[in-house]
Amino acid sequence: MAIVTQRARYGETRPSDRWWPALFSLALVLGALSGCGYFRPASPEAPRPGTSVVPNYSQPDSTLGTVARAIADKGRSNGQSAYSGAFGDTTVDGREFHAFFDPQTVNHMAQLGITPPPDWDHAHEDNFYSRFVTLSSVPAGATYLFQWSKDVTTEDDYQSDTATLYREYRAIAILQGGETQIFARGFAALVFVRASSKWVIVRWQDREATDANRDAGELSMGERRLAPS
Amino acid sequence: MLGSLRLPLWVPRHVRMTRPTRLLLLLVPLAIGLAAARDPGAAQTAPPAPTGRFAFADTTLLRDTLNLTFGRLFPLADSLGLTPDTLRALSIRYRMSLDRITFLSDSLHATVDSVGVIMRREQFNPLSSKLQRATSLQYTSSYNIAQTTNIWTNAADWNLVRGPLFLRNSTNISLQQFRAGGQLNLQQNRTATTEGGWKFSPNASLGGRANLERFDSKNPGNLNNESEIKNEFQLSARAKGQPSRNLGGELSFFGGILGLTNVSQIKRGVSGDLTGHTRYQRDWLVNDVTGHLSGNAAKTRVPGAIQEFDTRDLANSIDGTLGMYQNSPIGLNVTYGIRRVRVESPLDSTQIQQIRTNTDKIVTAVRMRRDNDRYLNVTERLGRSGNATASNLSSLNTRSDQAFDVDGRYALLGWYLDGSFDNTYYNSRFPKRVASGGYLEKTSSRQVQSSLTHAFGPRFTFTANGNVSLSQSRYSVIDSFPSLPVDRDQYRQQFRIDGQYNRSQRISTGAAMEVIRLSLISLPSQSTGGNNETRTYRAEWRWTCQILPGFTATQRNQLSADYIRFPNLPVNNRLTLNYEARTTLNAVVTPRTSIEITHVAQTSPSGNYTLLSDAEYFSKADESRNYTLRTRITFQPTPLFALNVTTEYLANTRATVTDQGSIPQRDDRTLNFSGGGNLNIPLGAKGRLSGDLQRSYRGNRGITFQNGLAQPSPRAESDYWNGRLELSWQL
Repeated sequence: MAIVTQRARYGETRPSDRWWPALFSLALVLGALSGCGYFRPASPEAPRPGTSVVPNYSQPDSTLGTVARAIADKGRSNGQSAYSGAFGDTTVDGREFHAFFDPQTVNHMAQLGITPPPDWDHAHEDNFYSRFVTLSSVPAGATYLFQWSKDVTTEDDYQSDTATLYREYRAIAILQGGETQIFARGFAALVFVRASSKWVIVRWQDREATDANRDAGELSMGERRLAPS
Repeated sequence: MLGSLRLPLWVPRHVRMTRPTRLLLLLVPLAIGLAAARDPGAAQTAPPAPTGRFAFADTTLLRDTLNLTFGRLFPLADSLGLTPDTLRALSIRYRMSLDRITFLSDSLHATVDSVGVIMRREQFNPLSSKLQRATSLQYTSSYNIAQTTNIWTNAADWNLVRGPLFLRNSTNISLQQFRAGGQLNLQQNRTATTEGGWKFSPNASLGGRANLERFDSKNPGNLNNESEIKNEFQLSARAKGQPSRNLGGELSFFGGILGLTNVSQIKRGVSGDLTGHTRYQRDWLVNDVTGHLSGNAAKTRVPGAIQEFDTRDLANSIDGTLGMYQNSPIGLNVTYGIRRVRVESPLDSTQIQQIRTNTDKIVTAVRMRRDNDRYLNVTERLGRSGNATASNLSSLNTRSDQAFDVDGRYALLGWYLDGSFDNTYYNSRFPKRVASGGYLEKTSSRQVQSSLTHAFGPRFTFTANGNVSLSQSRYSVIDSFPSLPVDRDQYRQQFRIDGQYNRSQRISTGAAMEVIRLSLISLPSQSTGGNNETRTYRAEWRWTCQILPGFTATQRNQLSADYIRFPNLPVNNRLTLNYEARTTLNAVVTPRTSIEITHVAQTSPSGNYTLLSDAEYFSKADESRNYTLRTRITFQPTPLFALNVTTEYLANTRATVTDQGSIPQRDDRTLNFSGGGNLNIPLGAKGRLSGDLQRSYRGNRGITFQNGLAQPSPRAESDYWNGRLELSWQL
């Protein structure tokens, strides 16, 4: 009886009770990691001559360049993964991306009954790319051009592991007749962190351009992110 | 009593020790481990957690100006199933201590992240209060200044109760100036909600409510000055009841007239808002359901136009939580929600635009829990959302998701095994991206991760973790679509081992190694050129030594190598190496004065590498060297305020490496200086002035080299105030 009491006091159980959950978990993990193929990526087709985006995140400005080339790619080659890699992902870079919106943008969305998500993170941005490069308001055959230029109001701040860049951006569609259409325009305060050899964007504070022609579709990236498309 | 028991020999040695003794043995190394992991300059450390799982957690968190501390943040967040930074952010946002926020969570039967929302919502519910006489006013004024923006906010909440009569008001005014694109922009938000009425029984009230909202965005000379005026004057009715001991509920209704004027529309009409909430609770069952219906019927026109349209906006939703056997070893939790929103607004002077959005979700979780260190959760989530574009309702974009998650922890003989498995499917349909059609996106992602922690005796803690994930996206055409995104996969695996040795309270050291492999794969032949694989190898060694009482040195050394390989474009293969040493000296000179000096040295060569049959050859193309020296002096003469001065000097150089040697490319020097103080001063019995304010200076000068010739740029300087001051007053 005393033995039974002490077993209960110390939470003792039969050895098989103690071990099976750990063994089961271990077997589950090892099984998943072993060659069952559940985590095996598909094999790509043999390469054919064509243009691809070669991602370069070695400096903050080269990350912005990769973003621009990825948008110009319109998802035809590896634009999606090049774009996605420019933004911080907790599982890959250890830091997460967060976008913040201009209060004016939030007000525009409220008029449409749309509430911004509490946190616009990497998953939202990843999903946004395919919508942005196939906007229904831009002819599908148009060529995209995305330009960054320095916002002269504020000096960029480069540190050893972080950088803050102030940029104006324009997304331009070059139509088949040669005409151009600006479909995104605004300002962004961009915070970068160095994750291993990559400089990734972890914060995008968006501002609408005060002289943008909204009726012609010159919306900020913040509004493009939130608007139904 | 325990000490008087003589244990039989079959009882293992580790359980033959009494429980308090075992805990003490665990606490000692953990306390040292936490002390070693903390930043020496930190002001506060949480008590050590009772398990090895938090041995490397940084608990040096303090918001001194808000009187908030975050002791036990990590174990508390762990037990609540939140990330520590989320719990900390909630505490700061609602100005509640962790104890207060968890107490209210239990009291309100709500999740921790809903506590603040419920408290703010209930402040306007007269049925929530039993006061017969009250007069209160709370006023807060805050001025926040930064390099390009300044925001002045004023908020007042007053409450007047005289027997059954009540009158309440909440006013918020926010005035913001910001500089972007060389222009000064102004944004103003002003809202006031006033409600008065008669509480003619403890369970019912009647009254009236006025919601006034103003928004202005102005910039002299720009095209898009915006202004919005929204007025709602409504009758209000509230009731609550408890038909049985287990069932309770509340009902509120607001209805009246609406006036909305902004740059895109002028809307005049009637609006209504009906909300019902029920709660059924038994020992083993809790079911909360909230239903909400709101809408308006109005005459709407474009500003300047004559023609008016009849518009109908409607939003309805049902949200609920069903919990069963919450305090039992096996429990069930179901969260569900359905939401439909329809908004109509004039697209131009001739047609109406209708936006429809809908969101449905159901999350079912089965929790099996023996204690905090032995549990298993199985969760299934189903969700669907959709929105219709512009004026074409046939182009309903939809997204559905289905996820299965398992996570658990098992502790045995001092080993802690954490594991999780997630499998998620997303289906997105965009049927009308162009007039001729659209596309379908199917994404699946799966991830398995595991972590193993063990404390070997009082001095050594070992942690190993790993995870593997695969994400696959596939696209197909709906009808006809010319530019279909390409199919792609992303694969990642990561393994890390970490050991921490605590020699004594004065000396500790630790080392870690990590290997990561990341593959980005596009499948169609025309897009495989950019496929790449990154292999990352990292090693870290860190140590802390208390050289003298009040004088501590800490150093962290890191080596890393990133191999980026393009199988189909090997000319782009790139290797980046990085060596970093970060040294911190912290001295507590007097109980009120501390000095912290940090030096960071970082060297990062990079370049192409070539794979040949015998080996890999690295061709160094450039090298950057970054050095940082930072000093921070803090003087806190009283608990009411502290003064601090921070200086930082950065030297960054970058050079191109050629056959002729290293050729400088860029050379930057930056000096940052800031000085200021933190305040937390009571003003009488009812007021408080808190916040921080500092003056910041930044000077930067860079030299670029072209063909070896230096081309210095002029010095760039900025000098500005930044900080936040808040005055609060309560009557």
